[in-house]
Amino acid sequence: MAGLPEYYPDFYSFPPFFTRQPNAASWSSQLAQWRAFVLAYCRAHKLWRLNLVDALASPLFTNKDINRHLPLPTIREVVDDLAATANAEWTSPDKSAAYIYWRTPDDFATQIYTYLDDTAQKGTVLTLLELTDGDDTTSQEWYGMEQPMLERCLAVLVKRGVAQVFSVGDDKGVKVW
Amino acid sequence: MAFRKLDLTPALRPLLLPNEALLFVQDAVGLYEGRYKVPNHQNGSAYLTTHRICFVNNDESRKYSAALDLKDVERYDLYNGFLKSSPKITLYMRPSDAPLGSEYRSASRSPNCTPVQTPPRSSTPLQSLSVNRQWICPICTFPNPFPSNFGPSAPIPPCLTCGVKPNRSVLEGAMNSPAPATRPPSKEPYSDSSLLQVGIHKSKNACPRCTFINDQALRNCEICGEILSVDDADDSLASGGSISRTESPSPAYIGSIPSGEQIDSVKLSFRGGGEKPFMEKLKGAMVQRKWLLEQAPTIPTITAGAANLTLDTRDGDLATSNAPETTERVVGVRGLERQSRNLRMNNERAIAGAFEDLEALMSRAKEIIALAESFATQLSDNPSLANSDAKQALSNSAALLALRPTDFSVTKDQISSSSSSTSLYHAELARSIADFLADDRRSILKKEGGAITLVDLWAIYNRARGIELISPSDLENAAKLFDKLQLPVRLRQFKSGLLVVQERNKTDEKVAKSVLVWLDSLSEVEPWELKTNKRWGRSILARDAAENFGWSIAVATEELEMVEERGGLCREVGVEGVRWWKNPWNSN
Repeated sequence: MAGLPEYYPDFYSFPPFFTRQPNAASWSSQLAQWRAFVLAYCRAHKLWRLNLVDALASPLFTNKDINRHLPLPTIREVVDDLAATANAEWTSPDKSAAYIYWRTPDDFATQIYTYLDDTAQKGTVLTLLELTDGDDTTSQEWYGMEQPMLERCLAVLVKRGVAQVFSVGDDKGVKVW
Repeated sequence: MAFRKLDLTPALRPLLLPNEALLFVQDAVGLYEGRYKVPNHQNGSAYLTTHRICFVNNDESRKYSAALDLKDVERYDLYNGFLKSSPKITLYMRPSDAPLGSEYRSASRSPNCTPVQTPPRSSTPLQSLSVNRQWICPICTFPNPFPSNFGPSAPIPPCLTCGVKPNRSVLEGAMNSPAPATRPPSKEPYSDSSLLQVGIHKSKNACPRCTFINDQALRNCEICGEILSVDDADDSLASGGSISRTESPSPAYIGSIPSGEQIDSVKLSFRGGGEKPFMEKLKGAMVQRKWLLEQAPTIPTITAGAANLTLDTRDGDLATSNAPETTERVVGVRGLERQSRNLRMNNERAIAGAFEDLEALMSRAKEIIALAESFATQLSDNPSLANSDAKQALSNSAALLALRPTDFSVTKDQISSSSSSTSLYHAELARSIADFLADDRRSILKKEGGAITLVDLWAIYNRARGIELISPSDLENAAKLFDKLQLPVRLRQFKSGLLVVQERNKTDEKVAKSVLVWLDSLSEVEPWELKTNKRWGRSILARDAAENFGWSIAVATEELEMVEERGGLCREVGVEGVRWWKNPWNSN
């Protein structure tokens, strides 16, 4: 389709793309395409949290040109599949919204570590808010990331033994060495 | 031998002749010629029809099948079986060189008995009596039945009462002499004793053995129990009127066949039982002699009416000649009106008469069929009936009116009630359904695109039968046997459970391929839905496929789902139902 950003797959204009295929082989291909598309879309829009009901109407799951949309249960299935590979995390057990990690927490953790290393901030204590919303991190991919997601990424660093997370009043701080 | 080549239907049933009807089927039957088993004809089904006995072997049916014309069968016997030997029905064949209806065969071994040409008799009760030849035990004088297999080498049976084996000469004497059981041909020289007997017979109803003079009304001798002759008109006619018959006549050839000579008989060995009902039906068929009906003239009143029936309404002149009651010759419009009224009245009378009772219907079946056909041709000629659907419906109903005894109907009473009866019934039903579907005149499967749901089949098949309807469960059971019987159709169950009967050669693969080819050909046409990308091709609804392939909607849906299952199609659920697209995920 003309005018669409290139991260939109060809299949976006294929009506059966918006119907869950009963054939197992077809469905696995279709699912892979949906996964890639959801991640690419979220990355392009810097979308960290996907509220399924809201997303339903968004261009992600609705192609207005051909008047097709992916039904909610199928969206859930796609996100479930993403969650299985740590690319997504349900915010609550009712599965109404999910954090989308368009990079895996491991990748984000490595990026944060590299950033702190590059900017010589190892050993200093930073609040999480500084990391996600600070003026210095606007160019970073994780800029604007939601707190719970960041905590999860930092947990990876903690596990690696290079960081420590502690509470400072209401806020949380992190120290990387 | 008397066997003829048997043509089989695609479903390996005997192909019935016109006017031939199936009477009975029995499986697990073996075939004997004389005393010997016929190789490769030992495990098959015996079909009794009004005209023939057909044998179809279970394996290699096309190669090993045979038919026997009932008109060649002179008489038949039932042997009940003993220990390991199965019950058998023996059919004694009419010698092929003898004229039809002749009961006699020249006795080649009795030199004093010159062959005499007896007038042929078309119907006679003699056949059943012919086994009544007896030999008298010299010890106890008990009249023993003559052994049917008697010959120089055959063992001599002991007397049934005293158990003493007689001299061979006793049997030979009984065989060669014009025994009391034999009707002497008119010019045959008589022995003294027989002359004596004849003399006695002339006066009273004397016993041929003990010479006791019995009362005229008695059938058996009061003293010795011997069967007394029965006077009937046939006797005097056959024997030239001079000699009254002493006893049931026996065809001379039974005992007199030399052992070396080929016995013209065929045995059906009923290994799975069922010989009794078969025998009953055979008796019925032999008595009815349906094969003679072909030539028989129809009832005159009907033939007279039949001329009217097939008349075209526009043929005015003939109508007048067929309405002799209109003595007054009327011309003009009024005359024409009267003619057509007369014709209508005639037709009405014929139909009303035919439906009066079933008997009449059967006897008038031919005329009614002719009438129905003439209606049908009139319909097709009539330009005012432009609506083809209506025309077809009418001609269909006309065809139904024909009520022809379908070759397709198998009823439970035609099937042996022996142990495996239900499965045999279903097997025969399966065969008849396969024939019904394969029938070129109807070409039902073709019209239905090669697949028909079991429900539709049930309706159509029962409608074709007209009477003796079958139950759905019988149909299902029969359809399940298609594979086992290797019939040209098969039963297929779709994922949803829908049962469909289709041609055997229509495999899923072929259907899938044809659907995809069709889709491709559609896509080459200019894309009608401009909004969709051209690369996805065109989509179809189940309805489109149904139209294109002649399927019913249910079948089309199932077939498309089958293709989807195989990865050829993918679906899109929209407001108008499920649309089907070529599956782009399949290749990668």
